[in-house]
Amino acid sequence: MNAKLPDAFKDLEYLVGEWAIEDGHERYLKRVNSTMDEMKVFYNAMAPRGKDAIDYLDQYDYQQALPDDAENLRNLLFTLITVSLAVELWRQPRVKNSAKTILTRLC
Amino acid sequence: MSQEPLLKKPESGKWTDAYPQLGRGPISLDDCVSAEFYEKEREHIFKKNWLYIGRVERLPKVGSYFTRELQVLNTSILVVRDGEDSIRAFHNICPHRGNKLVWKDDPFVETEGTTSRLYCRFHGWRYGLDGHLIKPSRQDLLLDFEPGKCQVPAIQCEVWNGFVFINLNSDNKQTVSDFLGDFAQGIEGFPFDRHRQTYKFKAELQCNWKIFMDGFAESYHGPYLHAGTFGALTALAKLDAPNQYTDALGYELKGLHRMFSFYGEPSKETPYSLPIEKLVQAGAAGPWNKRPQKDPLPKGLNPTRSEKYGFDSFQFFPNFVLIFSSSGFTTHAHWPTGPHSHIVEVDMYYLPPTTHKERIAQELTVSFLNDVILEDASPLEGMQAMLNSGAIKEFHVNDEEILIRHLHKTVQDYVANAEKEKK
Ligand code: FES
Ligand SMILES: [Fe+2]
Repeated sequence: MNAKLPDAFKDLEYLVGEWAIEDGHERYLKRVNSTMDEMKVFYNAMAPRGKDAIDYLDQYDYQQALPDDAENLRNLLFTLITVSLAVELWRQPRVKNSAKTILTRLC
Repeated sequence: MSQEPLLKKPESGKWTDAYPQLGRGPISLDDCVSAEFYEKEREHIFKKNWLYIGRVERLPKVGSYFTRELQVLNTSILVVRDGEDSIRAFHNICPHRGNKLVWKDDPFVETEGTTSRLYCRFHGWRYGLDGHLIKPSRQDLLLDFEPGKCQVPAIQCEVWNGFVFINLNSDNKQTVSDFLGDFAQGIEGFPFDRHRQTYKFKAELQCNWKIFMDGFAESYHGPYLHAGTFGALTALAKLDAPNQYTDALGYELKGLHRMFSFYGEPSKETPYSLPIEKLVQAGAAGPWNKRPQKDPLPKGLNPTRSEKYGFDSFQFFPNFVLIFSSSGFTTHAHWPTGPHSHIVEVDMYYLPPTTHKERIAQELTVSFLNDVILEDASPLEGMQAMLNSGAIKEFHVNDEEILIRHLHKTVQDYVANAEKEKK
């Protein structure tokens, strides 16, 4: 898939390659293998655009496959969710007091 | 739904008083530590009872199959849809000379797919989806050979409301529905098959399967262990008084099985909501401001008929947990891999989203639940390691921990009775 985003989000295209991760388990691995500084750069860029991104996606019929650019945007939102719990709740990449344990997400 | 509660706290104020045979003192924890006990548990419990191994949606058409690698049973199970209404289970073995029948690339990794025949790669023998031998290769070589004696070994298999169960005890005469008993009757009618949006997680944890089940059988630890996620409730819990946010609405024991019902309010914004929750308009308990459920709940759910009902969690003997919440239902299955380790499978079944907004909201709920489970995981591993030290021999279990008392007593009594019968 290319790294394009819908026109209104063009300025975020530089995030796509690293942070638009479709697979749920890959997203979680990205979170636990990133530093807080790395995640905050993504979070600070993406979070303020979250509301507009959700509204943009919601124009599309859920039963139809998204165009590539909108799918990239959706995946950035998914990663924002994964990363937000680290940034806003735990203030560290992993769940507090969870050592090295993670769950494998199958789907 | 009738407003008459099915379940009420005894006048005395203690749930345990409703079950005089349960005991009230400390309980032995040997069943979580002893390797010898674990072997008995495998023999008498896991190899003799109905076990939930997956939803029927995994077998959408005739010829669909999946395998389960279940160390506790010392076998691999092959589950196949043989017809519209017929699902069969087998030991995953070729009766010719014992090759593992269905696997891809690695014989110890579970697999799934669709096939018209069961084909053994070792010498090319073919079996029908019902396990009978269709054709050995090189029939000219056969000696004294009876095809009827050469079938893929069948295992009892039954489907209850889309949940596929197997039972390794070939003498078993009880149906799944009878085995699950009154609790199952009470949840009949729940629209399981409409909950087709699935999110599945799995982990091998270094603790006995019962230790993990115990962690999900009480909410008393919420404000302490989950101070991060239940933060607001921690102060209340310190009051040393009944607390509607952490005490269950009700506990019920029925034969081998048990359940608790728990408080909850419609998911909505609170002073503690995180920015991501406000953005997505959802939280751990599901989407905010959801319309109240239109369909009436089956009679066994919300048994205290509480206005502030959140979820019900049923622990079916031995290792199958079924949780109903406003988001849908979740299953936990616990598969021992040894006396001090097990694989936990957490599968969430939600109503399919109809909009991208709904899908994104589910993603936050699921991500939250993932993290809450992890908040329990490592502490439980630490607990197991310390139990193994032998420094303590008993758990001191209180009234809010009644399900834990019941699980251990049930398992211990079951094993003791089976051992007695053996002699
Ligand atoms: S072992 Fe299967 S065909 Fe020989
Ligand atoms: Fe917990």
